Amino acid sequence: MSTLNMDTDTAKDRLGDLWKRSRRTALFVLEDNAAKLGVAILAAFTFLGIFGPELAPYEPIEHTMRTEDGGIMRMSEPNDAAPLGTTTYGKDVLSQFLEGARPTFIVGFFGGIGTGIIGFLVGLVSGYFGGRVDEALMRLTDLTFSLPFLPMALLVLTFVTPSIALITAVIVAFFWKMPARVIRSEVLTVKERTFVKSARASGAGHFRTMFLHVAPNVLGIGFLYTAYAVAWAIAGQASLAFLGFGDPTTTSWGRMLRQVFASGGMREAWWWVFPPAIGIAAVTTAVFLVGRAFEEVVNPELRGDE
Amino acid sequence: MSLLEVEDLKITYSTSEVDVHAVNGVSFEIDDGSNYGLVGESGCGKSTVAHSVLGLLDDNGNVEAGSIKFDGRELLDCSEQEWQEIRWEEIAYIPQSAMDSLDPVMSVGAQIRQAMHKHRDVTKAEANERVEEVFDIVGLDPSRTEEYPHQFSGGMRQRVTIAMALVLDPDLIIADEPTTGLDVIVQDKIVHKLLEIQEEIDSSMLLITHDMGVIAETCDDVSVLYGGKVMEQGSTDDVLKNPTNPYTMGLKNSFPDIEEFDSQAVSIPGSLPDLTREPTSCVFSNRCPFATEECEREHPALREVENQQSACYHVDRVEELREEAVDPETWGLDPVDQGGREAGDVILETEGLTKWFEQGQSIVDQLMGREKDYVKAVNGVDLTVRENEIVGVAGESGCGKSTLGEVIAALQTHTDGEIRFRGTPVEELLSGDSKEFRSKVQFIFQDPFDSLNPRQKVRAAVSEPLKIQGVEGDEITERVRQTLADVGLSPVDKYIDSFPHQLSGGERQRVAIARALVLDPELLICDEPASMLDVSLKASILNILREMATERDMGIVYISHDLASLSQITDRLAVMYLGQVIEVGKTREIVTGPRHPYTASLLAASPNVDPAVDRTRVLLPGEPPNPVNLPEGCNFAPRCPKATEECRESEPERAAWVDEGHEAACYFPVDDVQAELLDRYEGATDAAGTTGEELPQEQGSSAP
Repeated sequence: MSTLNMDTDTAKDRLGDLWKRSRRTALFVLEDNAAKLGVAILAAFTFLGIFGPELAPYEPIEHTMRTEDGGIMRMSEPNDAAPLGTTTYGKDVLSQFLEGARPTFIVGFFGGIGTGIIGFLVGLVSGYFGGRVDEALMRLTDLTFSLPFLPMALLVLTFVTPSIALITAVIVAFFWKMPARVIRSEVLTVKERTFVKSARASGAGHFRTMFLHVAPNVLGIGFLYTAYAVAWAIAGQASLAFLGFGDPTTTSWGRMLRQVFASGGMREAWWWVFPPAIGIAAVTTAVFLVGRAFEEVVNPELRGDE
Repeated sequence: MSLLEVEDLKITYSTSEVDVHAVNGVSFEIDDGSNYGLVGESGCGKSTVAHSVLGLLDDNGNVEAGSIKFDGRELLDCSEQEWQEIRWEEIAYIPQSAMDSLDPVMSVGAQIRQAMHKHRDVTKAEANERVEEVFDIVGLDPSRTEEYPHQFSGGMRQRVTIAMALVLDPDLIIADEPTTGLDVIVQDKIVHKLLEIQEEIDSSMLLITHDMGVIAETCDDVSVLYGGKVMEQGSTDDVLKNPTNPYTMGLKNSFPDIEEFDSQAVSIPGSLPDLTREPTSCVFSNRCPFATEECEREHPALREVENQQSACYHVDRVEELREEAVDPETWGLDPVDQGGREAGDVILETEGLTKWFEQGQSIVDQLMGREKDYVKAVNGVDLTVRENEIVGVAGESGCGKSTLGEVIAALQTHTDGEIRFRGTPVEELLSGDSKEFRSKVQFIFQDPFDSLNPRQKVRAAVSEPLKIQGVEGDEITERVRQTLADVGLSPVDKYIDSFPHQLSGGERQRVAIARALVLDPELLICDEPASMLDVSLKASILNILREMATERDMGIVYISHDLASLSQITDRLAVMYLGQVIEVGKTREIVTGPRHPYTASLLAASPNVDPAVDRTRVLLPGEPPNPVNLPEGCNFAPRCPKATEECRESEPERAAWVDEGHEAACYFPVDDVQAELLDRYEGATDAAGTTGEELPQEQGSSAP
């Protein structure tokens, strides 16, 4: 395709422009107090995701906490040695929490971005070309819409050993439909605008028109849905882990909940339940708080006169 | 005592950053039973004034000072309750876009009755009777009151809104651009109706418009607004005939007269004043060719000149200014020699070009194998465009002229017929590498606010076509700068790194033109390039196109419904009606001696800026038939006063009447427009009584 050799000038110009725009957007989003809180939580979560395991005082699975008399410290309330208490097997909850942030982060980050990118591309192509392409792709989304996430994901994971990469892939495979639908409808309106026709009239190929003229005008919505996809991915991964289909070799927040449930101590061991539960709730809420503020940028009509 | 007295009204809109001073001390009075016009371009505050009289300002609009007295009563002190009683009962409103102002899920009769029930204690039967009465007044069939808005055409919907405004016998009717967006023939009928009603029910009217022609034909007194200030005020005859303010002069001279080929319209350079602070100088001083230092001091007060009032420091040399204002050079336009063009080789030729749009069909119909309906947008058009020639395509909305343009530019496929570009069929040019064809044929779209990608800077937008054609870096910059300078965007550095939203409408349209011209095309297709711009900017856009045609040896197809600008710019004219070219020839010949009855009606319907001219209105009956089911024979026959059996049975050839290059598709070409058409139209409407359109009433809008 001859239109593929996109000129570097345009690209550079676009990137600079994009950078400026994202800075403006970031400043606008941060005007919202709820969004500030959300950003703070996400920053903390990212930090934990990257450095959590290094910060963990003990090895979360191998190391067994012992009491002063040498016995295993089972189901212990928070104390000096274990600030967040211990599990039935005498493992340190704090260490598990810190260690568990990483898989949650990885699945959330890559699952979200993967969902966003695939959904964006499908929506863009489907909306731009219309006709048979649109028909085929949209029937495919209908199909994924009609398949319930958990049972299908469980079915897939029964046949293979779950790993983080595989779980991310399963999540992407199930969630791309949401951004795809929204982006497609957005593209349908943008492509009717005169400048798109004007680009075609000046000889621009489909590739160029699609990526240089249509895509930048729906990018905002794309980002918004990518952010939401992060929250869905985290929740999805936690659900899978809770049902026992997480990666068995690593600790994740969902797996912690699974274990506390399996141990039967869910009602008593609040110190074991709360850290992962609050962690998951806080991160997903934070994503939505930031997303809500960002949505006002994308759709100025939401800006109320507060 | 006056019915409405507006005194020193000041209105600001507060936005998150700054306050916009939309109206800065406007005063005027409307007498009982008279028509008052507020004229001005977009952003002059005319609609804001109207909304404040109705108490319908947007939430962020504040009346800072002044008073609005209606029948001696101060309206600004009214509570919301009192407002509701005044609205419609005493002051009624005809909104701008009739297309949107009716509720689509309520029958029109019910919508009108609703207004009555709110204010009067009437039974449904009484209300119905009144609705039928007002339908009759505005010339709609009273039996159609229970139909829904989508079953009426644009012009008829506008009549419904007028009927709605009349229903409670208000003392004052405020009409906000009542005819904008309507075709000239429909506009003429609406204006006729408004005046007729006026005489009948003796109410006053406040008419808001940007069209000097409509004002000249309807209003007794007028205020010319600019930048939220009254620039000139007085009786319409005085103000429009002998303007005393430079702005009025500019505005008046920017309306070209159809039949004056030699006089060139002017355009006012520059852009609207910054209204984020109260004006400290004359609001027009930054665009006024006569501005002196004196004008920078403060906005001049209105003072008596001749028979009217004008806000200008130079009222003592009115005569001199008036004379100079006619000359386009005063306004910074270079005179362009119109006559000196010689058409060259044929660039584009179409033969029997046809474009039908398939209409959607239900799945049941598809299975039953029913024949599909087609909208016959373009139906066998032969058109030739030569080098160095501007060909105009005229017609009302829905006649297929825009589709024709897009089909020629290969932006849409065609159903049948042939398009040849320099002798080669377009299919052949497109089959291999379409780049070359794309570089030779360029398109300028109607809407300058939407035709530039909001995320692209001017530099990127104009250089894009070059990049697609694979031109190298340095050359791109050079050509982009050169083209921007050519279309009058100088200094280039000021514009080249701006985003579209930082530019005004006129500047954007220039960027769009630059984008089209940067490749040195051989054929340029312009679809209403000036119709969304303020009148004072139109002339400069037309000038650029004309200049480019002469300098670059291009062929230009200029599509428009505006006959005045067509007659100014084009060399040859093709008039379209329902997908067919019904008359074609040299512009001058067509404008001075139209042969087809439709062309003649179209030409006669254009309003005249000179209030002294008494024009017979074109009361062409009926609406264009639906392009799905075209009538047998001549398409125009059902509306034509001259039609005979022959016209209804067989369709006239395009060249049914020929005189050298001038062809008309009519068996009985017109000689005397007045006697053969206009007088007969009037006869037709009189005979049919007030129910008017006895001729085929198409259901719904005919536009595809």
